[in-house]
Amino acid sequence: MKFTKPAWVMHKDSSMRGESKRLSIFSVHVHPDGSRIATGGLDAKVRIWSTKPMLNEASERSGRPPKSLCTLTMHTGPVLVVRWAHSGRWLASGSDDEIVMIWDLDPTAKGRVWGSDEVNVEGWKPLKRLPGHESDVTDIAWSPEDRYLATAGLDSQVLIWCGYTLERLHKIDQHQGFVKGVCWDPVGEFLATGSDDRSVRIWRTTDWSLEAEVRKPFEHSPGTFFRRLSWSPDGAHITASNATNNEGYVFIAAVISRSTWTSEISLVGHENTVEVAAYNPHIFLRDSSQPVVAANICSVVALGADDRAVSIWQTKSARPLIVAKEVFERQIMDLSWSQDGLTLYAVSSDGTLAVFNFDTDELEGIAPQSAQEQYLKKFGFVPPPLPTGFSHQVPQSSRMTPPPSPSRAQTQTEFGATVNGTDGEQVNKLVAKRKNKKRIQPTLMPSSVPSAAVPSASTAPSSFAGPVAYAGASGGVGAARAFGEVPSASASLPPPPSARPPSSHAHAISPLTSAPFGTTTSSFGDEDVEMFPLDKDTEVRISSLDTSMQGGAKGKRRAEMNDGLVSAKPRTLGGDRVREAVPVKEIVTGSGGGVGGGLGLFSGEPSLISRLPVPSVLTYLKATIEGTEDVFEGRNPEEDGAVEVLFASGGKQTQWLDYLPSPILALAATPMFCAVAMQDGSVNVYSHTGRRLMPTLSIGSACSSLNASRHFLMLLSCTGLLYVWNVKKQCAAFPPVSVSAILGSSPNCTIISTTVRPNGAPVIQLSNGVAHSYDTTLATWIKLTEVWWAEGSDAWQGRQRTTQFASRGVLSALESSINEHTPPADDAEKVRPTWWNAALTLGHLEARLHAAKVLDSPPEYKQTLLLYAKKIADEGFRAKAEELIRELFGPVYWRPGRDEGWSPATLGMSKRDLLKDVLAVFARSKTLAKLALDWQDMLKRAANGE
Amino acid sequence: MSIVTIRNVEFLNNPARFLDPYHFRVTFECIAPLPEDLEWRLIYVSSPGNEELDQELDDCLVGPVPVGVNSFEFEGSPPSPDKIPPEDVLGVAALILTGSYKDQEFVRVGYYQNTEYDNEEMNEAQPEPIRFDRLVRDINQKPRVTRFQIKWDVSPQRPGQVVAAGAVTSAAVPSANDIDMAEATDVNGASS
Repeated sequence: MKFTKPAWVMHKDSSMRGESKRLSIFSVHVHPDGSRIATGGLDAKVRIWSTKPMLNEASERSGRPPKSLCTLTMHTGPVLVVRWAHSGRWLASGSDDEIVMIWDLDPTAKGRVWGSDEVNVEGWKPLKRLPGHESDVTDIAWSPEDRYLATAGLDSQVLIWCGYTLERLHKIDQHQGFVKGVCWDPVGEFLATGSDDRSVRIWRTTDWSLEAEVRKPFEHSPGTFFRRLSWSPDGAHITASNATNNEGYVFIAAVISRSTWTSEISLVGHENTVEVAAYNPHIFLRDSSQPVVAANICSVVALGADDRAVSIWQTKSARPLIVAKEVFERQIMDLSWSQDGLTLYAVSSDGTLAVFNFDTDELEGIAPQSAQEQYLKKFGFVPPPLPTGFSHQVPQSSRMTPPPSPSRAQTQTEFGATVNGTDGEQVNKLVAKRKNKKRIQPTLMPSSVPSAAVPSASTAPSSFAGPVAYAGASGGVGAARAFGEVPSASASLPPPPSARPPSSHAHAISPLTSAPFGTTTSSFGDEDVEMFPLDKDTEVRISSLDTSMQGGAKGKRRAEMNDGLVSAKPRTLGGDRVREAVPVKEIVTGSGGGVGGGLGLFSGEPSLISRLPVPSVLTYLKATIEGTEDVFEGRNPEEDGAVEVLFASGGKQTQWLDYLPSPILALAATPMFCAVAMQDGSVNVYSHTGRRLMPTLSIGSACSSLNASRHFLMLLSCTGLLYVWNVKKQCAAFPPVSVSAILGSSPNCTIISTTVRPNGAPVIQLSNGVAHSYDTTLATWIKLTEVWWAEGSDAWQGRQRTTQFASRGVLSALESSINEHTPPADDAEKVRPTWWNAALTLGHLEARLHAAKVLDSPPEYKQTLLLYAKKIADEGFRAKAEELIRELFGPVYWRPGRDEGWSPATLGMSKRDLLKDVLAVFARSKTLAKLALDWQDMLKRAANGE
Repeated sequence: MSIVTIRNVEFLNNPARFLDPYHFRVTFECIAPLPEDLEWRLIYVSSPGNEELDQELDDCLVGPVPVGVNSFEFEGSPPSPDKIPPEDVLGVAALILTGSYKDQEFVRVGYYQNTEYDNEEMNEAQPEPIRFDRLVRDINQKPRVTRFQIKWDVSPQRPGQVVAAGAVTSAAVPSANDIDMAEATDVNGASS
């Protein structure tokens, strides 16, 4: 597979001259011939791009064909959806401005766009404006063979238009919430829509009545930008976005079966809401040698989500073919497969486009398009007859010399003009009437109207003389400028392959067939397909997706090598054992009642202990070691047998094992050590060769959670005591401390998550929207962040419009998590005091600065510091600015090497270097420019040792 | 969604003497029939800080406007010299063309106009009082366009008025792979 992010595909903020800022791209769609794509953006523009320069480096360099083909500027609101007709002749776009537009190729409309630097090398003209929606148009779909056009909007309506005459045929208004997704059955029998009323509804195309309503997978689905859904090419399934499992805590795409209209299958693994599902247009065969029958058919579907990942699934396999994480900085808004099924385009609200290009052999079992046509015939559905005299079909012979569009034909006959389709278009000459300002004699007006109204029939070639003068000078500038741009987006693309070429082409992502996705930990008989393990299955997921992507192929190879070397290796404890899979079963239910999974979110008793549930005793537990495929496993016997832990390298070969006196409750593993917590309240800590690094720790009560990071091990006991040990130094990071202080007395306040940072700082997130850590120097619990800031801070994660914080540090992840678990109250209605926003924003940023220090997160510290400086500058708070400068500058006469009790660095970053950046921010502000200049001078002198 | 989109604005006499009328042609595309007239205004802004001093040079009505590409020409009188503060006469001023429908402005096009004497000596010496008869103006051809969303209130489509007859009548869409940049730059200017 080839992966590329062409940096030149962008919707620009034209209000900012010089600097071009990327604006969100909401929609992408590939033309049926595959040679062009359309995108719709926040800038209210529809843009058309050629695909060859994206797929072919030589084409990208040569500029042939031109990258940008056309820019359509008629919408007055953000363009939320673009969809090509199956015929390829028309393009439909839907916008915030409530209008659906149909665009038609206009061979005469090429050239410079008036009032901009754009050059349209391919002309598209508005064919028809389809008014009717009373709010934003969110999704559009052309039915098979362009028989109908369905449009959906925030007015809760679905409108059906004739695909031939473009007249409105029907209005569906039974949805009770915004409609954010629409798709057609490839057979032509049904239409499916997805709405914020938490239902997907299926409509019959024969009479537009309701066939079915699917609610179950959407009962807890959160609000999202889109709910784009897709119907499989064999007609058998609909994959709907924005569904959830487990009371809304697991984000899935729901696969709904035709005719039963139930969802038995979920695609699990995205860490946030799925926005869009898109089926590959081809039928795939499980066994290519077998005929195209239902049992042998599977399909390929792509998902895009708010967790910024794109996953591609083949329905015959339990794991995704590919997961591309960190490819975007913000959520995915739309996906589109090319007609040949080999290329997938994805766009994001971060304003970038990504292209995944497959070889045929990578998409196993892909069947030709004819197979689908043949197969769909078995449904025996006969579509209603076409309106008479209309057709999308073009006789082969007249392909290249199409008759003029009807609108043109009409004007032609009316005015008797002859129009040559290629040399120019007809321009009606109108006569301007002087406006009668006083309107004293309104009767005079009509007399002048007739003459004014008759447009002259002659074409006016002279009217095009004007622009010629400057077309030469600035023509092509737009495209040329886009060329040399460094693909900024690709810089942030993990995994950074070594020696990435400067071009945006890269062969980065290898299919992930190995850990940690593949492990299906859910109990058998459950049809959930797991992309990566979930906490409820007690598998501790340490390795993040992106590192596994990097190590995927490599790690596998290494594992194979190990296999070959086994015989030559020295013996290990249990190394000859064959690892066998154990089904995960619950033996003893945890004390929290097990309602809300491992952490007892819904236990209702007021005492502290009931809020710190003990995990269930399961037959099998596992922890994967970050960056490797090594796993640390625990097994509790169901009847007679020994409790054992074992360490397997590469996920296969047992390296060592140990037997334990008491059932295992929890495991944790880092690249430094492994730890196991037992029911009797004892904890063993092992090295990677199975040596006990510390004496068995006796906590005295069972653990509620066990976490580890680098050298630190953290345990929260069910009695509410928090322990953190430094395994390397073999000492406690601080004396055990009770969480009762932060949990409070409310029975509804529970712990949502516990983690420990690589520096030993604990992070405890509570259900009341506050995240705490324990500061050893202050010997106090401290608040890292809390939902309070969401009520007024501009910098709150999720409110942030820029992509600055999308780089996912620990704090932004915490804030996102708080948003999910404790959604901030909608404060749109509340009246706030004047200084509310400034105070909360500054307070929030200051809190975040402290938190970044405690959690040892230098990038976030720096980001926040600059944001803080910007806010101070914007508000013009000179005293704060000066204090901040002095704090970072330190003693005036301090020089490197001199020790005056002042530390010149914070989190490993030089304070004076940070100050330089802060001053650069201040220098741009009116009130602080002078101050900044003075201190910049001071910094320079200090650096020169004056 | 704007029903009217300006395709081009041409100044038919530019550069010209300061006291010559403005003569220009507007070409625009209309995508739905408009029962009411379009109103176009030309405004001279001599002092950006003081709206009081803006001069409306012309105000005209065009309509009814049929669907398609339309053009019209109109003439605006030059600004009256006595309404311009003397210090704002020379140098850069703004010329604004606005389009309105049913008293709602949907587009505003701004141009810079540079005014100077027709000879070097006067430009150097700057005669007092200003010799308006010797001034020339030059309008920068680069427009600054601002579009506004308005209520067009277009009557619902009448039956029988068919715009499309299926894609059969639409132009064939050849592969974009064959498009050459050279072809594009050969195209004559705006929106032919």
